[in-house]
Amino acid sequence: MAILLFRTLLVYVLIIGAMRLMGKKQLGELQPSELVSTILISNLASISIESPELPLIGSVVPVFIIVATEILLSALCVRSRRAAKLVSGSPRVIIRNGVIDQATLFDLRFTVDDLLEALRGKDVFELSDVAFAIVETNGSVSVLKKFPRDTPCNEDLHIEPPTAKQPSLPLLVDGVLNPVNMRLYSVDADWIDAQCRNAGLARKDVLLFLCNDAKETSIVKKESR
Amino acid sequence: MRRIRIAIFILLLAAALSAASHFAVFRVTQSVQAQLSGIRAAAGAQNYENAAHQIDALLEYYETRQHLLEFFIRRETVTSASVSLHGLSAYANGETIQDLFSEIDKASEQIHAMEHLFFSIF
Repeated sequence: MAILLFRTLLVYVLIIGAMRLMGKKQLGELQPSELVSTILISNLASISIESPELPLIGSVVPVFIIVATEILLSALCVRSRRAAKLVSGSPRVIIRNGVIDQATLFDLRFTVDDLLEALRGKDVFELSDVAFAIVETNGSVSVLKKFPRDTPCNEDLHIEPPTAKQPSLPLLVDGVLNPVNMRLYSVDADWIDAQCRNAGLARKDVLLFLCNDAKETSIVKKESR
Repeated sequence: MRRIRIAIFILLLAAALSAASHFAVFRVTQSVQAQLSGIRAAAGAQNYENAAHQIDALLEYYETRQHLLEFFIRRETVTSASVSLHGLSAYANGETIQDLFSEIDKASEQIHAMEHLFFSIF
């Protein structure tokens, strides 16, 4: 039983390491090769945990070989468009100028129900609102609405821009200062402490201290536990 | 760039580990086969005392290498071969020489199966 515990913990730590090595891209929407590698890694990990008679090296080494191959393949795809096209395919337009490209739909084995579902996922409930729809290589659908049906932006509404040009960043999290963000917005610990005092708080009482480049702050107090 | 270097390092390490494991398993299985042949020859020459010593030496050798084999090969396969080898010493005498030959053949075939399981691709 102790062996099972040890193997489980070891495999768990190794898989976290493997996923970290592959990077954030793996955690977002997956390309085909990324989906394959994730499935394979999870299967290998579970085999290793549930079969103590199998040598651990028999599943750990393949996991890291898959990780290394995935990294090299993605690096190759970055350098070669041909390789990227071969591995991940190309985006396909399924709605062009408001008209469904039925040949492409058939080619992709996309049903009309799938298309409508994908549009609803993008908050589009009227097919007539869509100018272009593209099926991306990871299977998601990107939608461009027709101009009259599109959401206006701040420029269209002539809304004056806010004072802040950059977003709020956390300068203090759970009582701990973030020196990188503090340097970005040219603030020091004394200024943060002064802001906290104005809010009737000490630094250790603050869960989250947000600030933007216009020195507009937002402070969240810690709740008593 | 750092991840690419790590990936290349991992692949090289896996290749090195594969080569090392091939060498290690091949050396152990070849040695066991050679020792089994030696035991058969000794028993065939009716030198049963020598055969018994060789069997003890084989068992000692296999016990020291068993952990190495279990690192790369399924534990059941390695243990099963160990059980077969341990059965040899009971037959190292003139009355059961045919049984000894039979057990040697069985053990040899198990080692051969272990090699096949480890080295074969398909």
